[in-house]
Amino acid sequence: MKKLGLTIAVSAIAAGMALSAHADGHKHAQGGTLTVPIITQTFVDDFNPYTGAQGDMVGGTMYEPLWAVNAMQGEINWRLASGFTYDDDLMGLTIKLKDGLTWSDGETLDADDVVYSLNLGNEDAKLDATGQWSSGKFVSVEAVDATTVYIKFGAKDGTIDWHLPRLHVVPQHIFSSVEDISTFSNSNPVGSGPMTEVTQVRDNQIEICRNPNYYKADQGLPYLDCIKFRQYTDNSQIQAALINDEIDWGSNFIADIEKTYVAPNPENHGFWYPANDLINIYLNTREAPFSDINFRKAFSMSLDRPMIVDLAAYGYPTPESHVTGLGEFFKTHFNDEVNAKYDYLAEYNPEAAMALLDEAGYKDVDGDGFLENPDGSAINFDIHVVNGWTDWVQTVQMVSEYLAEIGIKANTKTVDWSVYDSALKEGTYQASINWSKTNAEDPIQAYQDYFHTSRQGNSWHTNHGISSPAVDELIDEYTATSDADRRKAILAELMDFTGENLAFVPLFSNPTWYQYNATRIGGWPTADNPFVQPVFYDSSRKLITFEQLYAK
Amino acid sequence: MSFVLRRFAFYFVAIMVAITFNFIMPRMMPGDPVDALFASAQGRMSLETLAAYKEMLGFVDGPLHEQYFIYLKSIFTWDLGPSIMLYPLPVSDLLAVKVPWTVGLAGMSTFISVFIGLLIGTYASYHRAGFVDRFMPGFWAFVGAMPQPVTALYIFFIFALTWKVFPLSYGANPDIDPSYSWEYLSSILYHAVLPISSMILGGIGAWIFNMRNAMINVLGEDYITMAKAKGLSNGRIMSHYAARNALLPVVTAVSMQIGFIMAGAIFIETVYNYPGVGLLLFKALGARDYPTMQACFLLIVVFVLVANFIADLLNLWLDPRLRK
Amino acid sequence: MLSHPVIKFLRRFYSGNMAAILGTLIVSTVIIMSAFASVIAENDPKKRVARGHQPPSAELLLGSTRSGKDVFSQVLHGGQVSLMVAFGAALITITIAICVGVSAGYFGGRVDEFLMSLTNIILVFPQLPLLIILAAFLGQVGPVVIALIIGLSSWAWGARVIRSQTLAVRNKEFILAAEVMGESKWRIILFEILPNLISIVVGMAMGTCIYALMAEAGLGFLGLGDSTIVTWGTMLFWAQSNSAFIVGAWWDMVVPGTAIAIFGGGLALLNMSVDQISNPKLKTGSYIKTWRRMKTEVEARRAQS
Repeated sequence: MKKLGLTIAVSAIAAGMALSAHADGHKHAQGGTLTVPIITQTFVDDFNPYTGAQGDMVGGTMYEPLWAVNAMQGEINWRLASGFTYDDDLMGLTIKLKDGLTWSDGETLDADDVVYSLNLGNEDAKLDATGQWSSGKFVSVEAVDATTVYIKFGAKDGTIDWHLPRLHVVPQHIFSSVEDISTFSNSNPVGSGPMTEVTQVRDNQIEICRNPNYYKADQGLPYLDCIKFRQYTDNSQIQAALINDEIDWGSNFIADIEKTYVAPNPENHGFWYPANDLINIYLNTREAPFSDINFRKAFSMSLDRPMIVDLAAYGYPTPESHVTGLGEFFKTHFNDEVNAKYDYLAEYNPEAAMALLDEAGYKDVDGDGFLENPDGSAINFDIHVVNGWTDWVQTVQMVSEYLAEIGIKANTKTVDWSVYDSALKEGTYQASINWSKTNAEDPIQAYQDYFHTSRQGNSWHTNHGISSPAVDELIDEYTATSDADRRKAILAELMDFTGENLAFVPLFSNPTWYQYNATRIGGWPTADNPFVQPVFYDSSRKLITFEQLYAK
Repeated sequence: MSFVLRRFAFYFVAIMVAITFNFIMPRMMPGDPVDALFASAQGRMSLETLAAYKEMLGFVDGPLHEQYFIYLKSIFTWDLGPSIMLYPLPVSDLLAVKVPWTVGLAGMSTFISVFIGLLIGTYASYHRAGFVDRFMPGFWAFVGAMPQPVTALYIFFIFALTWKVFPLSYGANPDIDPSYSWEYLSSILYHAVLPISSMILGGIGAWIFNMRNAMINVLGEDYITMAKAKGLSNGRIMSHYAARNALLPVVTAVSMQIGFIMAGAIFIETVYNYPGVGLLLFKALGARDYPTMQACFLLIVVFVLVANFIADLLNLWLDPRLRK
Repeated sequence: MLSHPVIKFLRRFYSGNMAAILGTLIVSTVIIMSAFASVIAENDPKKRVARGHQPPSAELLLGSTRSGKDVFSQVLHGGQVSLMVAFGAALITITIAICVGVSAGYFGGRVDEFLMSLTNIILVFPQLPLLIILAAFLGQVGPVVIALIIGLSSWAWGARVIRSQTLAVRNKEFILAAEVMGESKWRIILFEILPNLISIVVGMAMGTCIYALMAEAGLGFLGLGDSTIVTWGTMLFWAQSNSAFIVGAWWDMVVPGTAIAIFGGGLALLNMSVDQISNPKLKTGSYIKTWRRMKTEVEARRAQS
């Protein structure tokens, strides 16, 4: 195991030590089937990792990543690779593969397969899983020897390893003869992961079983024989199926979970909702009243975040108590000194908010019970939210209610995704609720996404009207340095910038939706045994979780 | 045979109007399907991938009339394009799997509803002002006015979730191999009990009401009075005179009701995760999957036309004047 | 006053007709309660007044929603919007149906041919699915748009019925007489033909109301309506998205559902009674008993003689 961060550019010499992420330290007998729900219309005979048609069945089960980042433990879990090294000038990266890897059909898996898979993204943007060709970071990829791959960069970068777990390493001997990879159905998958053999494909059930040539077979892995995917079309059906013990692992919003799921069988029914990304209301600071920092501050202070979380989402999310851009997910990166300056803005304090507005010249001129701008024009704005995203619609409705209490007229505006999407990207919204990039490999990605001008028009979180060349430089410097102290200092500056400008009002950290049923299957990550953030929809974290599961 | 020709010309025009409607609607709307695809991924797809898909899935370039002919051609060759939710799966493949379930569900429930409706309606029309005649139509009107999803959810909650006597979802047990074995067929029946009951509860009121009125109208006709005067038995009158002539209003009513039956299927299939066209349409709506939505709509129009055609045939059979 | 023809008619309509009396009672109660929603329910339907999903109690007559709003107040205020949608849609529908039906029936010829081909084609389009697709294309639709598209898509059947009735009336002597006397066509339509269609039009309007109510509820439930406006349909939507049944908050779902059922059922009862005016054969009720009693008496007397 290797800690992320400080030693990020050092290759793991003792690769053998990193083989098994065993949480409880002893082995289990093989056998058993795990049943997992998937939300879709119908299952299809498609196991192509690139189409994404059934990506959740393929990633982390059929195709092993190079390595998996376990941010919760601050570790890299080595998978196909045994280590990587950056060039001293951060202009290239060398990846070392493990010896003796094979595909599930018995063919050798070597550097050529990795190079082939990486290069696919250069030829076709749809196959650019890591996004590093289109960002211009990758210049070339080549095999040095059978187990060594070298990537050459176009600019200094010490953060490329964050993106590589998203690469699907596919067998060159199969994919090179495929005419059009983006429509290839790959119905007889040849993979490197623990589960590669498709034993059943029906429109409401797919079963995949053990890889006969798995590289970890000598450690008795995987413990489980098969995974059965079951088709559902919404969360409430999954809730019913969980309650009736039909499925083992849920990743869904379950209403009133203690009462409906845990209470009937507290022995075996459990859930754990560790924090995920931060949810913010983005404010368009180009126009009044959001152009006034005092207004933005009052906005933030008018909200009773714990109440919002309680009513709109049964209290599962974590109310945010800082306004410096990061949420619970990155709490280890919180900077108490910076936070202390701004934390009062995240507290529910309608009196202070009203006093602030009054001082800044907002008065109810026409006597309708709502405040007007200092220049006398009416305040009346829409907060965008996507139609059908019900927890957020409820959240925004509550936000407008709280704003009304301090005399601000705000409307919940449910819009179509396309309207919402372009308004956020082009900066034509007034206020809009959205997630943030605060659950990735490193906190800098969040600030890059919030402020870096190169993201304007591409990201939902950048076009709020606040940016500065100095901030751009800081962010660029961060990716191009490997000095931990300097990185920390940069983060502190960015946090201060965020709190001072308040371009968005943080609400709460979303939870990671995760329910487990220990009736048949054991080895689940729990609050007491938090060996990984249990995200089913992420190949890496799914794989780390899955590797620990066994039939009881 | 001018009647038949006229009807076929009518069907042709109707289907062309439906196709044209399908063609125009998405082109008049803001946004495009790829954005919808992205929305359904709720942020799990990179922006670069999105741009690449846009290029691939976007509407054909070129003037509108050319697009129209390309569209017509694809419809008549049953090439309905790739679905957006399940790209690159063709919509026609998707429908082929889904249609039998809905036809079975809607067909069975309509058949049972009509049968019960006829039974109660006929009874009521024979025993005018009796208990059944006075209270059944009214009572079932209230039951039928309860929104169908609420009725379905209630039944689901009691029988599937709480008492666990019927399954929660699917058309059949996914662990059983689809085949013509008794095991599989009985599983289908078992899974259909709650959806069919829910559909019947929603529609039965209208059927009882319509059947009663249809029977009363038929029974009031001169030839029935005549038959009675001739001293024919009630059974004989029912089977030889009334039923035959009540058939036409029944089939006409069915063809009129198809839209409502399909709308009912949307709710029922959604509640029971039943693998039919209704659920498909519902999910396509949410995902703005235009190709799938259009195909479902076209399919429903075709159902209606087929029912109309059957009504026409019946008309021909019942009214010899039309055969000229 | 009591001999005014309207009063006479009402007397005849209601006497011994339980369905009509019950229907009128139900429908008018619901309308009045919705109309005076802000008087009857003290809480603002959009204001948080309690914790989420509180069961019915003395303070909250019908409990609270997930977001802590008063269900009783919501069902009354939501009724205002839902009923407006229903009435609005019915108004549009019968207006178009009358215009098309009467024109086709009265003018005949080319006009008739054109209007009826149009009507028949629209009739083939399944109404509710058409409505759902339209709503989906338009994006989250508000009550006004819902009423509009229901009204614009459901007039065809009515137009056909009105046309055939118009045809039947048109050839009656009094119309011919009016024509011979040189009355203008519009006058004839307005004062001679339309009054004869009233019972059909009223029945149709009620039928459309029921349909529109169900359609609004359906669209709302499917999430195609504007979920920030309180209507019976969006109440169902929110109850469903908060899994009301599973978490045991049945009132959240059952209250709007029952409101729709009661109003729809009441309208259906009224509709049955109105149907009996245009088609007396369908009548049921005590007068049939009277008639039957008389009939047996007559037969008994015949048998004696």
